[in-house]
Amino acid sequence: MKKLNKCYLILIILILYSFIQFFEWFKYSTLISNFINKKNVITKNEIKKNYLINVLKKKNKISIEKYEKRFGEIIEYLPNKNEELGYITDYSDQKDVGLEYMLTQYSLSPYIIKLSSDKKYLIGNFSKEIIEDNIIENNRYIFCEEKERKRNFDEIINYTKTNNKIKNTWPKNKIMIYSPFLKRSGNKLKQYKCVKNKNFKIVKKFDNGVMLIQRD
Amino acid sequence: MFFLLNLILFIFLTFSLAYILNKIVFIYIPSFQQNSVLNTFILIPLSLYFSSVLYFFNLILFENSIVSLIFLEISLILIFYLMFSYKFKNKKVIYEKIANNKNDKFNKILNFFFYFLFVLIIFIFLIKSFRSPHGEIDAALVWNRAARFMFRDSGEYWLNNFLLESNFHAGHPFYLGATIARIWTYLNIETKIAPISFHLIHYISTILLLFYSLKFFLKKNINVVISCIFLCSSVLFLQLSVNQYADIPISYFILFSFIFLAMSQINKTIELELFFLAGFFIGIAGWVKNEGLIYALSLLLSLTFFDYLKNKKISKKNLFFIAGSFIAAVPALIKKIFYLAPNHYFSVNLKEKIYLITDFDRLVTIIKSMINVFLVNGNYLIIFLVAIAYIIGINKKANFEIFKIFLLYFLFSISFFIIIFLQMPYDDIYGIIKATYGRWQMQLLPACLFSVFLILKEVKN
Repeated sequence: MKKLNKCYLILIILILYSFIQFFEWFKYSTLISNFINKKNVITKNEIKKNYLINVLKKKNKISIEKYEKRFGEIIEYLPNKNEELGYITDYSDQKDVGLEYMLTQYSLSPYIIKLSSDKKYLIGNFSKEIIEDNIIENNRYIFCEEKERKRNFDEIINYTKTNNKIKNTWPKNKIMIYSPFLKRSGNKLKQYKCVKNKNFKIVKKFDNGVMLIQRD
Repeated sequence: MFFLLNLILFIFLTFSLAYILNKIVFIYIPSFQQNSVLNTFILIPLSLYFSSVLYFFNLILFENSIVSLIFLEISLILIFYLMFSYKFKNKKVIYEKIANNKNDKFNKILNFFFYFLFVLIIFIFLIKSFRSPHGEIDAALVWNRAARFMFRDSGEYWLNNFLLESNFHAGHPFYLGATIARIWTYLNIETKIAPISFHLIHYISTILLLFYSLKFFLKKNINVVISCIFLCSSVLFLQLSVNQYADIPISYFILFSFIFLAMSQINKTIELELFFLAGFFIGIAGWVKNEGLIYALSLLLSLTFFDYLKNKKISKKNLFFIAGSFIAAVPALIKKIFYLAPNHYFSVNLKEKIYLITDFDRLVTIIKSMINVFLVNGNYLIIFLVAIAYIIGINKKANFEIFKIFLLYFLFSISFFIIIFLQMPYDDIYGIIKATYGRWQMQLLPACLFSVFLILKEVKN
């Protein structure tokens, strides 16, 4: 009897452990919440199928698949792979600029995309408004040219504070075009000098906000 | 048609190498106890290690020509076959056949639970991989990106990888990148199925390896099944695999290394060979991820410590361990020496590094953070593992050597990680430790389960 109890105690612990682990997963799983949310909407067979595919597909904040499609067309217009390309974007508080840059590099591998506006060719990763309103063509933006300097020690170990300080100096109601910085970008710190009426030559423009730009 | 032929060639070469390696690696298991199909499947990651190294050298020497790659792979299979042909004939070890358990009710329930969990996690793996076929962001940006650099350009442009910003961790070794690029090269198509299959194979192989090896050592089914249920129930272990991170492959090689060490305790006739293999497998960890070199060093220090306690000198078997780990780590060292990439650690100079290491407040923060994530951060695993060990009970007659080696190895690796965290030029140390700890725990989990279950009493029915 005692031995039997021991065996079942082990079994209970194992089931409990598995239950807790999977319960935690179910609790945070977007798949499960998607199913629960969509359950009442499903009606016709065709709609049912589409819903199922949508429910199963993960909706990331920034989708890698979307980025692959976004940058797929520009590859054939890019110059030689030896040429380092710069990267610029329009500033917006909501944007996860660092991640967007990294996904651009992922999509365009093995081209080298540098976080710099000081290159002959620049990849422009803009929001749709920039394209729709022809902001670049009509020169209705402020371009912030970066200059790198070596960080001092205090700035290295307090990068969050340092980066926030840089971000806070940006005007909120203007269209700012710039090459962003990453949270951890080694021993370099970017400083920006913003100018109006900076001209760029657009080599290729796509409706989705992607551009290949040549600097004067 | 061409695609199908290439696929068959790829599968044939991978499995042939794994089959040959099975005859070399599982030297400690007598032939009548071996299951060739299972062994070959378990050894696919080792076969992938060799082919990823060949892919890397083919990239350097022959600009990724598929003809030279096939030639190199076939040559390696033939060399292994000729070198170790004597192993196909003779077996040095003879053991008693594994005792069969009676099929009682408790045993049946446990087995059913294990099989149910196993099927469930594979199902979840497939569903989750369908939802995010690129893996999590880190996997895409670090491992799959490196594979793209190698595959997308057969010329010299793969070297662009080393010119990227430090956030892409271009300095990481190439086990994942080169293996995935190799599959793409054979198929001549960049398919997302390649990284998914790669991680699924590692995930299943690690569970099977734990099952297979414990079954060999313990000769009793119940404890073996309990340990595997633990591993299968660890959702983070599954999640890391779905995320396509390098942690599961690294856990596989660490586990294998501990299996050889455990085997060397009971089979003195092939002790030196087993120590060589233990070193070789932990050395492979250095080709998987940068911290693999830390794991190799920690295990070496741990073995040397116990050896020194007994003999007051470094013994021959430890020299075999060093030789094994060095040979396996050669590709990683070549890459580190000849292909330098930007690194966060290089962004601080020596004076600043000394300041960071000697900063007492930082040390206190790191230790506090580690204790916090170890005890507080939803860490049910430790509590449940201790509870199970308490209920089953410790077998006082068991050989505690491997368990002691694991504990010291754990302490050494934790000390190295503290030193690394100390010189990290980041301010949010707690955040970094919290993000890294779970992954680090999962890397050690299979080896931990193996060492713990070796010293537990038999659960009798």
